[in-house]
Amino acid sequence: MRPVVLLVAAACAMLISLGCSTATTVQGEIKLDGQPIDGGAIMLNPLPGTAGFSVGGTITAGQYQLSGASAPLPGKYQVVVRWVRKTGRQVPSPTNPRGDERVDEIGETLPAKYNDQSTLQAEVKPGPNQFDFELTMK
Amino acid sequence: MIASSTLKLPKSNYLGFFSGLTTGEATVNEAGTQVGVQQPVVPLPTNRAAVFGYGVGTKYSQIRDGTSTTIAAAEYLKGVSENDNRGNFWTNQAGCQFLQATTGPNSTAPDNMVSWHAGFCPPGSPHNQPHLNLPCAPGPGMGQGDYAAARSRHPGGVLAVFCDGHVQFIANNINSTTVAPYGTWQRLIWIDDGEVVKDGY
Repeated sequence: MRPVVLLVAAACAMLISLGCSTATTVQGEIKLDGQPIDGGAIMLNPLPGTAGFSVGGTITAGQYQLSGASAPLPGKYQVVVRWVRKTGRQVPSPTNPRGDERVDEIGETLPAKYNDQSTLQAEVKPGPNQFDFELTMK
Repeated sequence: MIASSTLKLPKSNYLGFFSGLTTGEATVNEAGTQVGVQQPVVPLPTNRAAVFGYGVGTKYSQIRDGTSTTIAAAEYLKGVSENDNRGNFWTNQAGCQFLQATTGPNSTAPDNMVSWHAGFCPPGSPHNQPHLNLPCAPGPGMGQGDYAAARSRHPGGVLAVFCDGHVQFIANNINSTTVAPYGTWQRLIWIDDGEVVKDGY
């Protein structure tokens, strides 16, 4: 039985090394019109053909990092960037049914081409990946 | 007399899946007609109906993808702070009454929660706690663009109850995406997307 045990051990070692070879990390810098985004969120959604799952994280001082549990599987992804903050407008209070109270609107401040209809894409490869995005309000 | 600040409502670790990708879509029935009270109306593609909708019920006959392959409810995590509204099923918001199929089990992508109330996830909220599997970000649309993922403390997945009553562990790495034609996770939750999910998830 010894050869069988050795074979199983070798197969396990192969699987483990294969597992390591597909590990990824993703990090980068995201700017809006040259200024770092601070307090937004990034999400990677698998495109058709990529058998993964959505991962994401927060953007702090323009930087994001997706590693450990946040690390995506290798493959092609749609990138969604959100920056929800005060828009400067006032809207009816969502908790006041009479509609006679106005509050600061907190909403998406990036164009839809970066979130709801994102055209940003990235191909994640095994190992470290660096994806920087220069966003514009235009 | 109880002052409102001391009124503690019970919270739940088990929430139902609501239609659509966002809270706004949960207010519309399968015919595309608004049945809830929230504004504005967000049209819901009929293939994104879940078992639960805001103000609308589902008949067994409407679960055309099969009761044994459609998820009704799953686990969610109550917040660690008294002020965190997660799990407060008395409130019709993502993470309270509503879970959505938008992101997969225990997703590291933040739940998009109410942006205008300190009990949820306004900009800079202390309730964004990724290290506790409680990531959140303010949602767009003053509550209409929110969603919450199934979450648990079980390593590697969540428990989900299917429409035939069986309970199953679903792994974090189940295929899941918001890019059409969507992932296995979304197909398990939507009741009539035309895809009957086979075994092996």
